[in-house]
Amino acid sequence: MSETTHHPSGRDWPGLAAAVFCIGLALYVLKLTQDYTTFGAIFPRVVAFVMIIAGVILVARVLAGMPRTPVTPIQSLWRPLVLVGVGGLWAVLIGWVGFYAASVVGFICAGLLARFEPWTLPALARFLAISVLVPSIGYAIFAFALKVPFD
Amino acid sequence: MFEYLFQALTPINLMLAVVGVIAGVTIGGMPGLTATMAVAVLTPLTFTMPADSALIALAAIYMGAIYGGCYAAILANTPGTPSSIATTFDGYPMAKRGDGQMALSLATIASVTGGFLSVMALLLLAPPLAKVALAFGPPEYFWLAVLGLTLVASLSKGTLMKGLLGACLGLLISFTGSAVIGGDMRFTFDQPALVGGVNIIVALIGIFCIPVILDLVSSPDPHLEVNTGDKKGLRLREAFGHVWREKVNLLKSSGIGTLVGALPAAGGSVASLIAYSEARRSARNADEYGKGAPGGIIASESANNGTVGGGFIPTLVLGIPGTPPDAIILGALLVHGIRIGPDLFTEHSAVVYTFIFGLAIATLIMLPIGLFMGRYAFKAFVAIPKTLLVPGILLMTVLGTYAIHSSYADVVMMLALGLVAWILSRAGFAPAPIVLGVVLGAIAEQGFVQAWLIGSANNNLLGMYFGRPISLVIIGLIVLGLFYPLIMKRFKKKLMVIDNE
Repeated sequence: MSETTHHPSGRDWPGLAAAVFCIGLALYVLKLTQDYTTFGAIFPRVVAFVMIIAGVILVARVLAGMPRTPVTPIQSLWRPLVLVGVGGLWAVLIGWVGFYAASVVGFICAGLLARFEPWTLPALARFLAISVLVPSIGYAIFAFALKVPFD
Repeated sequence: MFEYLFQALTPINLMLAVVGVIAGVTIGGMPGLTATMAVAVLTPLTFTMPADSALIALAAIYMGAIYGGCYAAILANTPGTPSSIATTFDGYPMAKRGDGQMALSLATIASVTGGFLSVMALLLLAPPLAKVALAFGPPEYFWLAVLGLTLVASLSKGTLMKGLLGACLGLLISFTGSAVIGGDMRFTFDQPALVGGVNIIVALIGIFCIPVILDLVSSPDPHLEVNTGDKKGLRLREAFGHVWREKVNLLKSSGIGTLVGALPAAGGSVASLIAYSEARRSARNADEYGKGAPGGIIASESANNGTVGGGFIPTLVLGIPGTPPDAIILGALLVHGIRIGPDLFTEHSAVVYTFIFGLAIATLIMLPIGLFMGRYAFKAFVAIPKTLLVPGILLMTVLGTYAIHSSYADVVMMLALGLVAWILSRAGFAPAPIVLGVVLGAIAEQGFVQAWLIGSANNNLLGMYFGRPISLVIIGLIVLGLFYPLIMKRFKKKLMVIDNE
């Protein structure tokens, strides 16, 4: 989180792609709302029209030379992408092995990904112990104190 | 009236206020656990207490939870509650540059002041302010929601068009499931998980937390800077100095919070955004807003805690809850056999005034408790290595999401929304407009469709939207919010030309 903001050069092509996506989504919403009653369709249609207008203005501005919005630089792209996979695995495992076990596995995988230095044996042992302890505490608070049904 | 003050100061009521504030701050500080959840979970514990003590405990939890939302907003850029969205704009940049403890001190002082002033308004001005709330009809609520969305669009990083598109995306997400009027099943794609719609907290956690976690693992840099020397610690003297310099902003924002809180369903997110926008508009250092300006934190935090006292005005006077936690507290009042309405202040004066004084005391107690907890929250947050911070936040997001409906589908939805928000953030889209779109979607749609129905029935559609005085004032504010940055840019350019000449 302690990033320095990256000022990329060139036109805002990602912004243009997002604007085109929004316009496409708005058109799809207009198509879907044809099947709804007037009460259900009127406001989504208004929003879709606003989206199309804002999207077209954004596309026009990018084509006119609008520069890219500064964003957080990514130093390692594979880590966030794998973390997305870990999140997916976590969600899938909840259904298979239950919330607690899935959380321990997910916690360990996410922690392994977040470390940039090489592991030492004591550090790994400490990390694994904490990886069991923290989900246990979290699970206990939610299951027993807040009475959240988990299974 | 002093007997009620002394009743509020009994050891048991004081203890309940302290415990309530600590519980509220702890729950509100965790992303995913909202003030509503904090009050709802702890309400059954108060059923055996005397009515005034029960109300003091619940109100202390509520006040503490709204304040607690600033911890995650400042330290992790993920608002603990929707009310803290505007706090991320300046709180997180301050924490990033090493002034995290100072930001927490400012947030604590502003929250206590805003909360206390709103309680005083509840004590002294409840009946006239309740009348203001009654003057708001469907078109006013629609325009109020639009005001919140345009403000967040123009205040967030990136261009105004990206902010507006983000707000529209949020609105589209809010349309999923049953329509607020008419009951159409919309955008569910035959998926049972989407029938109930996208929960606001699921969207808040996914859109704010997941991109932060993904950015955290993408770089080996430390997550927060830590100042050394005389720039470390709570820096209370400096914080009070900032608050004193921003006294007009503080009073104005507290007033905005109280007024918006008194409008049923408007909520702390709208209040803090309006206060933030007004603070930036009237600030001499407007350019510093969004980069770590103390005035931004003061405006947002005083306004969102101001909604607590403000929200109790329609709740106690009219029986219309101003915010969701007010609705739960209203239920607790009924459990204790207290009938709500204009006669409440005379028929049950002992309970009501003891409660109001208790709320004021709980708010003041929040100052030492907040400063103490903030100090250790910051130290703990900075000391945790990324290896534990990333899975820790991820665990909280999964737990917080799952706990809402014990639903596995909510977790998948949260992760999916987070991934989309992260991809959009790479294209310069800020998360705040998307989340606020989800939060305000139902209010905006209900107001719009009801106004459309009434206008059509009266054959005066345009007049319904554009012909009512309060609506016109709000529309004026929307136009100002949209074009103010542009006007200021041109004004500054002209000034520079004159200076050069």
